[in-house]
Amino acid sequence: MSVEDRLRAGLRAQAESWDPPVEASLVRVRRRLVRRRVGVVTLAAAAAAAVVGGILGLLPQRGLTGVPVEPAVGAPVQVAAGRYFSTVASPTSLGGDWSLSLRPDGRVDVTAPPSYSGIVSGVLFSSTATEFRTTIFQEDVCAGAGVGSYTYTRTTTGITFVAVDDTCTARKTFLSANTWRSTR
Amino acid sequence: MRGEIDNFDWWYRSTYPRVARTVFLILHDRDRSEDIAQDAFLQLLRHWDTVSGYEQPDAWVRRVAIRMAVRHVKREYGRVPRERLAQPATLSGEPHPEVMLAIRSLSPMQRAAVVLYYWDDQPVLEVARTLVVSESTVKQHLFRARARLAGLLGEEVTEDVR
Repeated sequence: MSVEDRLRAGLRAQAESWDPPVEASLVRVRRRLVRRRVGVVTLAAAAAAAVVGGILGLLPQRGLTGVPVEPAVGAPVQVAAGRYFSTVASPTSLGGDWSLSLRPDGRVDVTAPPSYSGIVSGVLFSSTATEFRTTIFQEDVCAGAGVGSYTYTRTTTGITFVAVDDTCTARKTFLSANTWRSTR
Repeated sequence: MRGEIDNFDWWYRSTYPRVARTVFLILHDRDRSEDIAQDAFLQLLRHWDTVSGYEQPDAWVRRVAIRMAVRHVKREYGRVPRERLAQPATLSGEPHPEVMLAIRSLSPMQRAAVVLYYWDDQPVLEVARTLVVSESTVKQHLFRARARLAGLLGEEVTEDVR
């Protein structure tokens, strides 16, 4: 085995050995932002109070409490939620029977064919009435490509995807060039 | 399209794991990796109105996180002799410990270049942008890193960078 193969195998195994706690870290990031903003607001208020107090000979008696911070708008409606199946023919590297279960909470349960050895855990999607976005294959064949954006159409038998913005060719082909049938 | 990303939570969930893992592979310290990745995403959240309009907001936060990680490793590298960094005790139970120990013996920039190139699968140009150095410098880091790792792991160098 070459040193490059050893490196790739070692790094990949090490990366897969750790599942970063996403939800807990998101909560911490939000809390830290709130604390930071409250601190800034408090400092600004204190400075203003000092100026006003100095002028009027009064100091405000009311302290500042937590400032709600909601940088993100509400969660998108998961219109495309459902279970879909496809016998993928192209790309050939992803060939085989796949099923995608798009859950209402925005997560995707992926069942890959036995021949596929990549990472399919932690896949997310988001859909509105017109747009579908997903991170599928971002830890494998789409590494570095980010999120793929598609339009989609639900039919009585399944769902079709048309790529709008996706730099990952394999994902584009996987979703757009294959027939995805609803399984319930 | 990126400008239409208006749900930070969703975007965070989709991006954070890979960024955190990349930092972890550079630092070899899970707790510290979480801290640094969160610091990077905190910066992202503060600039979300602007960065969400970029073509690749994930690249922005990845670069911030990796640069923070490299700065951290440089500080540690300056403080602790290389021999101590290669102590095997903390890597027991990890997959491929010999590879991780060998990587840990590299300089901070070599370590980052190896992780970005061989795990994150970034081309040399993108590695150079992330590490704020020239492409030739990245190639030099990779060349020296491969030579050192080949010696430590008893393997041969068979590839060249693209």
